[in-house]
Amino acid sequence: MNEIIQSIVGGLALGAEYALMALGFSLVFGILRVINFAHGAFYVVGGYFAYWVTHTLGMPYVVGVVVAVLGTAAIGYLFELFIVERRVDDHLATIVLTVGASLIGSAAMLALFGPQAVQFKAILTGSLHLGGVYVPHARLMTIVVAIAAVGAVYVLLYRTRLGNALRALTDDREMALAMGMRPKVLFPAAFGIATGLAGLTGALVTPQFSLAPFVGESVLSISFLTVILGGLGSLSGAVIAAVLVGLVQSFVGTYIGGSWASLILFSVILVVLVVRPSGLLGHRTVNA
Amino acid sequence: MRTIQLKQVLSLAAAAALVSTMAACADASSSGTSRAGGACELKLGTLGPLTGAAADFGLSMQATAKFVANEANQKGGLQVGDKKCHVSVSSYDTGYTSAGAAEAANDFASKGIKFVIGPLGATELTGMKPVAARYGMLLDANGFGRDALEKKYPLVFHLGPGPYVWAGPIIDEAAKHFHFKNVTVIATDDESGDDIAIVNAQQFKKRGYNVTRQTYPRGTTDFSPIVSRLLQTDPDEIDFASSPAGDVGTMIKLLRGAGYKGVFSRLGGDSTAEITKVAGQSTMKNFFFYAPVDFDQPSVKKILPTFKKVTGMDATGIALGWIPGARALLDAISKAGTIDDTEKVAAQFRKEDLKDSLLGQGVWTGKEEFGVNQEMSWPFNIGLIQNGQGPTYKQLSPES
Repeated sequence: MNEIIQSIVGGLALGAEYALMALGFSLVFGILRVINFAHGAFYVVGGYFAYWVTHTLGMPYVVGVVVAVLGTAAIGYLFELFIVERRVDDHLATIVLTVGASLIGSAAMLALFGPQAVQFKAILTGSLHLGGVYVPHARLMTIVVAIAAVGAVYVLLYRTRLGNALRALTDDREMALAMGMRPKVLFPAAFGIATGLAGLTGALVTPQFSLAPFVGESVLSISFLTVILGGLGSLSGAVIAAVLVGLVQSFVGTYIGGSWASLILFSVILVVLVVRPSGLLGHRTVNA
Repeated sequence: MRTIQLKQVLSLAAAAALVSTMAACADASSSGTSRAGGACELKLGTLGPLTGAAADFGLSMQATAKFVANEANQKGGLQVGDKKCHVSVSSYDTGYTSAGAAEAANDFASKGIKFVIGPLGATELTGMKPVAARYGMLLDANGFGRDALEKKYPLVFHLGPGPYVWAGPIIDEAAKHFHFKNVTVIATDDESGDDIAIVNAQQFKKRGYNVTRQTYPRGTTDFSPIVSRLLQTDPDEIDFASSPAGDVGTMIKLLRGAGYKGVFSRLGGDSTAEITKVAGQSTMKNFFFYAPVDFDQPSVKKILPTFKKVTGMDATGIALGWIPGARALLDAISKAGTIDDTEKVAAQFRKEDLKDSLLGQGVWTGKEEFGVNQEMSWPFNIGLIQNGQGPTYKQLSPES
């Protein structure tokens, strides 16, 4: 029984991490219709921001996390404003631009910090042991932050004027423009929020695992997978899919073996997409 | 008459610059290991994962090549026949893949490179051997795969021995320091992981331990499910075989966080410094590993500052362990008197007396394991971290 509970807890922790990543990824697609292939690089840059602030400058970890969020948000804002915005309606161009940004981001970290993993000590160590079940404190923190972030993004999109404007631009850009909404202000803001979420995830998660210039590649692929499963552009779909992916990985990893996780996960996704080509909640939320 | 615009002039100038650069590149590539402008240049190729979780391996391989090249150049170049040849190094990032290593072979061929220090992983060696053979390249490789050396590839040599030589004696020595009964061997599910893990598991089993095998895909970043599965097997010793250093450090961190109190081992390429960097020294607690060199030996201590100066990185055990094999290759090239005829160099290489100031006396082995006597077997050590202290070293031999 303990193993099942452990797998559920592990799956939820994984799901929380994926949800944080997928949320930003989905936000950018939902509002700008841009698939941001630089999302993994922002995760890495966020990790390095936090590392630099805490280990090089010797400041508290919380400051590192805040700097990571603000730093990646600022870079994302400027990247959208000066580069993506010029080609925002050209899907192929935005793919190339974001892939390029990803390569530049990783290469910059490589040049600044070297190719090997840096020693990023986890601030929260130890685990919560309940019977035979253990939950590392750092993972608990990730779950709590993920819940808070999902809530904050929901409030932002559905309870604020900025959110209303962003959703209006998504639904009918021409009408929104006629109503006086300004995409040149709103799109960079949405992009910055999304990259800030990636930076937040990097700052929270990399001390638990490892921080090296190219760790964002696998994070990007799992985020992409999650938002496809949840339905591109659907925030609630992304969160549900993230938890589902986390649980599948956790149960397969625990009971069948790590090497089978990808095979089974992709098989599940294949079946879901055959039955629902737009993903779990794609249709409903994209057009909300 | 049309007026030539500034933009057109700039375009023409850029095109001319591009053409001349390409011509220069073509000229440089054709020089390869032969002479350019009358000077003699020996270009060594080296390859491996220079980025990613296994970067420690590739960077160490690159550092070995740079170090031995510098040694030769410090003496005014490598004496080849009546010429002194400058030794240079060309590196290639394989991403630790078979395809990457095959691409490296093609890249080296286009540069005229005929002598390669590497590759280092079993997967890479499998991918590179056929392509390298096509170009007549001589590989001074490391891969621990079960078919690393083959009769059909006579130009492939082994820089050092694999786990079938040293895993057994290291396990025997470790048993004197740590108490364990249930062993789980975990490695990546590709050839580079599998081949070493199988040998390690056999060596543990042969000595009466209960052994479980686990695998995971290369590129994994979140090891939580894998750690849960590892704990299910109830081990008191976990061997990471040749798993990338970053992965090992992460798993150790998570396993200790989950309350695992047993021993760890790494019977694969030595990356202890990198593993410790990721996991933290105190988290390692009890850990034993294959150590090609004893860092406490005066001959090793003496070389460390120069190594750092030349390569720009702190010496790793594997990098130092590969130096004698790389030196032996340069010596064979020198004695063969050619930087073009790899078969002649290979013939000389097989006759080399493997005596080195760093590791002592080595011997040619491999006949029993691979059917060809082209493996350089050097004295090796067990490295021990006990209660978070160390590492300390003890030299062992295949018979110990």
